[in-house]
Amino acid sequence: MVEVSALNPGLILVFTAVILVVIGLYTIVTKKNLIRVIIGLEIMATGVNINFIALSLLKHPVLIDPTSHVLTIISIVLDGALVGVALGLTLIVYRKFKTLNTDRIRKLRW
Amino acid sequence: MLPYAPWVVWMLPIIMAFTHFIWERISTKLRDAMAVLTGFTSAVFAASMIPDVINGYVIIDGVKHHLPYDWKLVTWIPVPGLEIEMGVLIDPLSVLMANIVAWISSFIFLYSVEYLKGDRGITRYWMLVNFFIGAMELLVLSDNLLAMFFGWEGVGLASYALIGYWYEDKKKYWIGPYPPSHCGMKAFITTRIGDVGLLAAMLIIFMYSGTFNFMELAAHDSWIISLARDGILTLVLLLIFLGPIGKSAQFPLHVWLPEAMAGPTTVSALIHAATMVKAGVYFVARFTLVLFLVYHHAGEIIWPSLSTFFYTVAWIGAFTAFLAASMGLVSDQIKKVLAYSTVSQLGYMFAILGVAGLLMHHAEAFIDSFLSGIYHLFSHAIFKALLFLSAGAVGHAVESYMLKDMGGLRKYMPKTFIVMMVGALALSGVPPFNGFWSKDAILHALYAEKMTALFIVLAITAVMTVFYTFRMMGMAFYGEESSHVKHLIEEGHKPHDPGIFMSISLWVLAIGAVVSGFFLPGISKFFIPSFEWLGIEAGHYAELPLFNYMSFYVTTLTSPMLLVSIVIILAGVVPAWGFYMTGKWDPVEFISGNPLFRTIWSFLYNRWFINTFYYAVFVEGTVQLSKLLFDTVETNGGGNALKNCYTSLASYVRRLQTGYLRVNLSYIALGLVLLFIIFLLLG
Repeated sequence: MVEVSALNPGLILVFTAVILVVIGLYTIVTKKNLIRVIIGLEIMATGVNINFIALSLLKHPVLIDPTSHVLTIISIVLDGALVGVALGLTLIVYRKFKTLNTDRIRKLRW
Repeated sequence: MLPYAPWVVWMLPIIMAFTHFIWERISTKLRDAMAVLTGFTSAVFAASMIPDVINGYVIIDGVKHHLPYDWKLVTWIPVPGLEIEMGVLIDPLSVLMANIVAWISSFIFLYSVEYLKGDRGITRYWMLVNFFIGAMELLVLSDNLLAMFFGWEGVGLASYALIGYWYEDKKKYWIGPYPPSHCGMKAFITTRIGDVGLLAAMLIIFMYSGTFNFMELAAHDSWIISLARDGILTLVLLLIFLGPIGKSAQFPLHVWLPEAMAGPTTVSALIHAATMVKAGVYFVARFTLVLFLVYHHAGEIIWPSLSTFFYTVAWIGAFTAFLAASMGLVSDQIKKVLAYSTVSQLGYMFAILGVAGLLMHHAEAFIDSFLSGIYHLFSHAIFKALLFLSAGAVGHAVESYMLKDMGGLRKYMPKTFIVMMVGALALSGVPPFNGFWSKDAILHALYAEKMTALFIVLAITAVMTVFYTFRMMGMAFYGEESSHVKHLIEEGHKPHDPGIFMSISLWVLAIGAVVSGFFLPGISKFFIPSFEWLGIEAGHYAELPLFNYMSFYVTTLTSPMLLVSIVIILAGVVPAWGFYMTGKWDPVEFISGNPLFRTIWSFLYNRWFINTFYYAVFVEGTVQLSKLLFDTVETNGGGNALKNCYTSLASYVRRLQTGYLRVNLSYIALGLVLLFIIFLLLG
């Protein structure tokens, strides 16, 4: 286990990340509008990105590991692309189902 | 040596193999030129290593190294505890093999340019053949067992694809009862049986020695002593020999080679003369050298296993030589006759290498027999390439490989007749062609070392060799034209000599088959660095006739062995002359008139029923077993039990798929939490 002091800024970031992921998950599970679900997804992704930075701080409190920063930047770019694709799919879903209510979009079942 | 010659020799063809599809886009002529050029460039690089071997040292980066030199350039597998370095071994054996492979395959490439003109898959062909020789060069040049095994498998893969080159299985490409794709698969599977043994033996050796490197294996003896103490040395050595048995088509895994004729003739020439089947002989020779040194460190404790191993090598070789030659006597296809003769000649090489191993106590005798094997390897490569390429020219002209479709071709293809006759004379061991000197050296060594049984078997085989060679020549070139040939002439497709590219290759190889016989003592001198490495003093071998140009030829021509050779040749030629060349006697009448001969003929024609037996037991056996299992478990006995089982299981599980997005996401969250808990618990 990594020795963590209470003052380590990495720890605060980890908590922030966990909170963001939980908020995102909550949004995805409870909201019925597909657009809101995507927003929840983005919140979750932000949490994950912050987690990357946080872990790099936890591992090397003094010397900051650039690998995770690089990964975070890649991840942010990918998130942008992901939102684009998701919204595009949402448009198609709307054309097909005439609704964005996730309870009505139930084709993926037995 | 040209810079990085041993590396270029094997890397260049492999790299170039994957560029032919680019050249094809530009021009098909460019693609053909690039492929042939690759072969010749690689050959020039290989040839540039010869002077270094003759000098006995190489200079790399200004540092002088004595041969054999293990040139390590990169760490191939950098795992701690398993650091395997990629290297090339520059020693007489590897350089000789590299040159044989590179030069002969280059001329075969030149020949293929014309031979395969107009075929649809030529880009694929070039890719595969270049990869083929690249893998073979890796095999002969690599300094460790593992890299060698990669080359070994690369050769197997390429040969599979090339034998099944006409994978569309059009009826005109069938040779015997099986379609080409089937033949490719048969070759692949049969050689794989041997490879499994080789792989197992390699890994066992690695467990005991911690290295794959030939030089390190030879320098230490602790591994072989522990193997001997654990009582598995014999097993390991025999497993190792399983690889060469499969690759070089020795009994009992010889069945694939006759079927390998289904590919284009150039491929057959490559497989038989330069690559593939020579790999087994090379490996046994290489391992014999390693074992020689190890034996002189470790002493008598390993001798029982070694002698078992070498007796097996010698006798499997001798028996295969006899077996294959007897099948060649009755074969009805020109390429199959040559295929059987390859198996038979490889048997000679194994026999003499096995004898060399048995004579490890006496350096002189060891060198004598070892070099005879290498001589035969060298001259066989040349004359067998020549024979196959001329057979290809004949087949190209008459559009069939059946001997009964030929006959009387001497009139129409006089140049092809001359070059093929040179090959045939070399194969039958008629002086002064190269096959005579090397085969005589083998028989001479066997006779001198009092290996009477082996000597008799191989001498009888030599008689059969002469007979089937001249039978083949007689049926193809002498006598009356067959109805097939007459039909071709009526249609206006008169058989004719091949064009310029094919002719160049044929003539170069034909001249090689005559001239190379006079350079054989040069090979002995070439191998001096190896013998110095083995710690044999020059006094032991400098006086041998093999090392002296004059005395080698004088001894060969004045010894009583010459009489044996003449008897062998006459015993083979006379019946072939009577039956097939002049047509004085009728072979069909001769065989069918006598029930005993009929039985023997049928036995030989069916290849001793070995092939039939394998098909009945292994192929049919597997098919029947799976049918039986299918019937019992699936349809009858089980009453669709398996299907019902899964259906009922699925009917419960599928209810998890509700289609509600949030339910699915809850599952994900639940899974994440579970994972988190598991990680926390495991620390």
